[in-house]
Amino acid sequence: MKSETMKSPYETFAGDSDLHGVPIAVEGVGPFGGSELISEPLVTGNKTYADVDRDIAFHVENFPTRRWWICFFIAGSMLGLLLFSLATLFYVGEGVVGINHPVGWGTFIVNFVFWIGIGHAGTLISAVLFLFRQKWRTAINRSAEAMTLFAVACAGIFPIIHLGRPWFAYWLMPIPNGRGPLWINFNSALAWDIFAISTYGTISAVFWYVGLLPDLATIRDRATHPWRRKLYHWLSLGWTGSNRAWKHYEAAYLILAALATPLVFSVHTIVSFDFATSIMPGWHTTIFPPYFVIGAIFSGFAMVLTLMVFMRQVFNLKNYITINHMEAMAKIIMLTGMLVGLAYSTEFFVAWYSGSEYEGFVFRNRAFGPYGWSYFIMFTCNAIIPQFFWIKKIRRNPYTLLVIAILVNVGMWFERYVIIVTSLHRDFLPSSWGMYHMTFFDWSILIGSFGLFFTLFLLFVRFLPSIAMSEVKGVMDPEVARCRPEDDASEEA
Amino acid sequence: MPKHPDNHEPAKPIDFTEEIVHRVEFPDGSEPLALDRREFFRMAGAASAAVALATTGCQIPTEPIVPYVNRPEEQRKIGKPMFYATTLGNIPALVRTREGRPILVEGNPSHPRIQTPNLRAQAAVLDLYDPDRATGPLSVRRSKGLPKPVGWEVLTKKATDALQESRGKIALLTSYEGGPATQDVLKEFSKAFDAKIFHVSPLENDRETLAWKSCFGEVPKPLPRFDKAELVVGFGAEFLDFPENGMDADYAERRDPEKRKNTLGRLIAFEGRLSLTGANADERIRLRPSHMAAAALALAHEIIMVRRIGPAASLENVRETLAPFAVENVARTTGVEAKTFKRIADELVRKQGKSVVISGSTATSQAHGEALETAVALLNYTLGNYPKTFDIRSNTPLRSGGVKRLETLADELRAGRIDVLLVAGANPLYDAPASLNFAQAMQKAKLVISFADRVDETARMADFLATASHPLESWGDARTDAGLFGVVQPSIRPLYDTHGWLDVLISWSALAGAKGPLADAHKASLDHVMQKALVHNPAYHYVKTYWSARFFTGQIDQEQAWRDVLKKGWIDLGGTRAPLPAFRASALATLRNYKLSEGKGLELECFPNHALYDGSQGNNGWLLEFPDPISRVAWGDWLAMAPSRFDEMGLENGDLVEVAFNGSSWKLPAFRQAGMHRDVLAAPLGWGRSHAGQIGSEVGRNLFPALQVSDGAPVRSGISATLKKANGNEPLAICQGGDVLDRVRRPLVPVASLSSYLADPASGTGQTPGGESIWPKHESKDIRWGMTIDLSRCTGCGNCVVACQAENNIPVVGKRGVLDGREMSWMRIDRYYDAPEKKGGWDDSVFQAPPEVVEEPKTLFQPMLCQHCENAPCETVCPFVATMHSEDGLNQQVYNRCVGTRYCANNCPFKVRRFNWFDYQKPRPNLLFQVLIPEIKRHATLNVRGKMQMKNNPEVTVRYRGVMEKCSFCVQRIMDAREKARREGRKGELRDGEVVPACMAACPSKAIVFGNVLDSASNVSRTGKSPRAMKILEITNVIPSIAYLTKVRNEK
Repeated sequence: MKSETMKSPYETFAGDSDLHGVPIAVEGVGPFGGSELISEPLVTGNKTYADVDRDIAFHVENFPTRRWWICFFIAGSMLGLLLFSLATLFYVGEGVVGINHPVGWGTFIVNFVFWIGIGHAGTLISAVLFLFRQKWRTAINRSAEAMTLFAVACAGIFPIIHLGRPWFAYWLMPIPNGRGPLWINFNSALAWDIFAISTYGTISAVFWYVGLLPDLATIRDRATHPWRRKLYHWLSLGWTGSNRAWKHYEAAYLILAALATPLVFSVHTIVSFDFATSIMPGWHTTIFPPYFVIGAIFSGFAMVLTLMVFMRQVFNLKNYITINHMEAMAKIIMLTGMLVGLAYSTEFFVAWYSGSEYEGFVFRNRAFGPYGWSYFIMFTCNAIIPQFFWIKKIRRNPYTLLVIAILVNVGMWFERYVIIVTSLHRDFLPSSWGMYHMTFFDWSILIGSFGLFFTLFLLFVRFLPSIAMSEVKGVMDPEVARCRPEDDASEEA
Repeated sequence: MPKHPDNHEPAKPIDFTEEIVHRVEFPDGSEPLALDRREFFRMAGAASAAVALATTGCQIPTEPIVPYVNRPEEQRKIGKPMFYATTLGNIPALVRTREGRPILVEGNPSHPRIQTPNLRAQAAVLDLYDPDRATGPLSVRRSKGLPKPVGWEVLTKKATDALQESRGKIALLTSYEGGPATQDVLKEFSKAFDAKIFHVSPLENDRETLAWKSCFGEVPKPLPRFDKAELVVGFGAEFLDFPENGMDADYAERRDPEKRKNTLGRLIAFEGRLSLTGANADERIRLRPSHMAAAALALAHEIIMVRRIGPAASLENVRETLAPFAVENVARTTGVEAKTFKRIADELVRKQGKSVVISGSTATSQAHGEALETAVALLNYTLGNYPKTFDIRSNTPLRSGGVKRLETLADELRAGRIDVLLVAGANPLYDAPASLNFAQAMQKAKLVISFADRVDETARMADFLATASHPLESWGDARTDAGLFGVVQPSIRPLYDTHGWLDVLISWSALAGAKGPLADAHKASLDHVMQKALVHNPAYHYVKTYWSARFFTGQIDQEQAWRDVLKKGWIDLGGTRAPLPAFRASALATLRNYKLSEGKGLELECFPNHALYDGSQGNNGWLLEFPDPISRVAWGDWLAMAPSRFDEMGLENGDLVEVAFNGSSWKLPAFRQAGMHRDVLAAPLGWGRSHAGQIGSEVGRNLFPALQVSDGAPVRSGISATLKKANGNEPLAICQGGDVLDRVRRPLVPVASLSSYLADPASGTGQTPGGESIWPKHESKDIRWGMTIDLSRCTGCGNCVVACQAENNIPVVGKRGVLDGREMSWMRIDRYYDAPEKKGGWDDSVFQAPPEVVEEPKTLFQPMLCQHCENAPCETVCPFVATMHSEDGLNQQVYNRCVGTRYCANNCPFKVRRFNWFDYQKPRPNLLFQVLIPEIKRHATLNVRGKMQMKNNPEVTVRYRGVMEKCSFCVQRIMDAREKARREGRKGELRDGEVVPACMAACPSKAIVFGNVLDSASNVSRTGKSPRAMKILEITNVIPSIAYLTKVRNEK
């Protein structure tokens, strides 16, 4: 800073309307006396550090709002639907859903892959963007990570409930057992899934929890009720905030980020092996691992975006999750959307290039067969709709963002539907071709899984700080945020 | 170095790691007791715990227990099947029983003509345990109120009184033809009470007999021998749909290209709908049923009048009779090209004495049926086929139909000449034409007693139900067509309070005062009952006495002869070969009444359903769920329409259409049936039972009453009808996805024409090869099981499908299950329409069944079951190792280990794996879930009511929900044979043919060969090495253990 009296360029940003998504040129501060471009602030509204604590901890410390209760009631009802459906499913059998011969995998695996894909964004945001020093991630990483965990939880139930005899699911664990010398089949991609998903779930949970520690301590310190203090004390593992603690914390966070990064790529790669290692035309392709990973990031970002739009609205966090954050995510969605479109086209090219009747037929049938409508939805939502983000107005408007993000998620759900259903429903022997019709229970399990996801998410925002306070403080301009006269006054008083 | 006792060593410290065993010996030489202190305490502890448990927690079982000593002798062979020879209808069979209960109907391999039971005979075992059977005699009171149980004593009293009082006014209506003894019982009964006997059979057709009689007089009608016929020309022929007397096996014998080469059989079929026979034809010509006779006469004209062949040319009036049927005339009217007739005439002339011309029962049951039969007889006579390709036996009975007799009976009833009506096996209130108004006539009788096994359509309008035993519970005899007689022998005591209808008839007659053999049999049976406390079965004594007197007269030991027959199940009385008299010119008079007319309007054909036939086994889940071999529809009827007409009307499969004929109109779900003549509609008979039971009632519509009677026989084809679209849709349970196979794109079925086969025996088996495999080969020491299926022999009849279902405890899933794509059958017969070659090849539209393919289709059948692949794709993807390869090459499914990911089913390129979506074989009593998922109630109805589970084969696990299942190559039979070999000291060395899977055993055409492919002398390795052998989907590198042998079509 050249002059003590000069105001920080950040001070004038009261909210989204003041943001333009382009850097600010500050005259006369460049190395040669010219102007310097500074990026727009990540937090608006001239917040101080104390404001951050107040704004974010508010939702943890106060009785939930009416809006929260309405959301919770809806999500809870959907969860109830899931529990009812599962009870029926477990008592009666897999026949309650629409799967059949030849379509042996339907809703369950579609939803499984869908949710696992959703889960990718959280880790990507928190680990990969952390390693790339993308500071804008701080506003969203906490909730994105939480979303990952809940998405993995949702995904995790599907491989179990899709089993014919779910009570024996533990047989998949390679644990010493009394069932004779039998071991799991390490050739099977489904066995690899178990390792991939459990590793991913574990690392994500640890990463998320470690990141939560300073904020839990903040809540503890602010707590007035002894029980709350006790609970958060216990949760924050005795965080002191000392330099030593911070040093270790940051080192641990960095290591965990490094550990989690390869998982972003491995998990969906392995999930794609569930298909790629089969001999079914339409599944047996080498493009699946990168295609699945990109698709996962794509859908995950869309889901984060959806949640963010609601969160900043419902919890009044517009100053922390600014329109600039959302634009950044929109850009990633646009990029991954194009990559996904490229994958779709490549698949078609390879199916034609292979010269295989079966391979070629599956792809033509996908696009023009009886399930052509689902392919159309998929292609439109995933490859075409995100292209609207080329228009700045659209990627900076929360409403258009929300619509497009939801459409992307719809598209990505259909991508899994297309891959699973259209490949299975018409394969080698025309005699065995069939159709898959979703029943009430297919739908209720799909809707119910959203119920589970949103219920968990709403509980998360109620009981834990949904924005990483300590990290947000780290990216604020200390000039502005350190204190304000009235705060000083109140402190003195 | 041995230790010397004197060598004083210092005492060794006790090594506690070593087990110290105190050896105790007993003076009686029993085993030394090896027990240490700890072991003793352990055992003592366990024993006292057991005592404590037994005295506190357990109770003496309170169920009634059955002492083992009182079981029949053979039942003491626990765990081993026993076989009983019997005859079901006219199908000789061996009944496999386990622990005293029949579980499977198998073929009688010793029988000279019929070695495999058909679908209905196989399914009879399910009828035995049908929970909808009446469990004892009932007072039905013509459905005034619910039926009430009534004791046999009461019923016998009523019946005998009525028999005595109404002498001369008694009628017996039966559909059972029976054997000589049965016939004799009826004769004696008729004699004793001056009763009238009426034989009826809804699908029998008097026109055949009438035509035959007019052609040759009162001589037996010979049966064709397809193994001797190089050329078969059929006019609506159905001999493969409903083969009699081993016709299917004979036909297949002629279709073996390796054996027959140039003399391979050839089948030309004229027909209106696509029948199974037509689907097997080498050349198929679509023709309206009403033009059948014209087509046959065109051939006759061409051969007799144009080429002056055969003795018929000299018959008087033949020229005038045949003149209107000159080839050109007929061609103009029927739309079949003249050169086609000429070519077929050429072929027939070339194969004189080596051909068969035949019509079918549905085709002849039209108004012009007699003309058709006469033309067919004239052709065979002209070509000199009669002694050569036909079996002429003096004791083949002349068939006579029923409706005429039923008409007579109805008239008698209405005239009040019948007071007592006994009904055995017949069900006229279901299958008689409504115009007879039999229900109303029946009301005139003072007493109606039905010998049905349930309160069926007729029995519910009777006074009493004298509940009859199932054929597997009763005695009798039967006749198979060509001079062969069989015994009907029970393989189980009646499950309920029932008696065989013959037993009851004999007893009642005897008690009502009949003398002679009836009384003797009754008395003999009573004596027997007194002596041995057995079931009262006079029919046994009657049959035995009759057979001894007639058939064993020359035998020294008649008792032994009888036992031999019981063991073997049949007797061949030969029958002299009678020369056939000359064709009577007077028969041509029939033809003169037949005028060649332009085909106008639509013609409806009501054909018997392949599985249900006349519908008498209408409560049988296996038959109801059997997919029709042509339409592949199960659980309901349909109206087959030509694709062009179907498309014009803008229909979808299952859309209801209204078809009006004979003054009534019916709504039927339309079905786009390939190969239909444009103006022919076809609907199956045998559906729509209203009182079959909980399984079969109200499935489809019953078209029998809508049929019209003409010349004393119902008209089942050539019925003029009108058609219009109706509202609504009734989903059809079609057991197949795609219909069309383009073999250029997907070489799944090996097919070749005879000429290309002769040029290159491997033609038609070309495939895209797979690449190198990364998997190591499985090592098999002595045995690797394999199978070949000869598609040249396979006719697609589906006997194997029912055999597999019966053998392997495969549940019935119901219509909902089939609609949802969840049929459980391990074996299916894929039916494809072969896409013709097209310049530039077909694109994907070929799979939409375009008119070019399905208007004039060539049908292919491919039995599909688990291929037991060498590199089984299912095995690598199962995370639980629930499916793996055995040393002897089986792809095994371990139900206990299966958790049900269904990945194996997804990854199976043949889609032969079946998943248990529900607990099909368990009652699920929870009311809440029954309301939510009504299917679970239906599954229990279909599979586990009453005694139904007794049908299950104890050798095969009944699968729980959530596990995968599939063909096991009948591993239980493999194990059984292996055990037998071990017992006989053969150390697992199995002889070829020792293991016969159920499908192979049931295959009439011997298309399926199973065995050890490592044994170079085995049948299967011989067939497997045939140049015709092809393992499908080579491109996937799965290497199946099943090879399909090329279907060789006898065409250029």
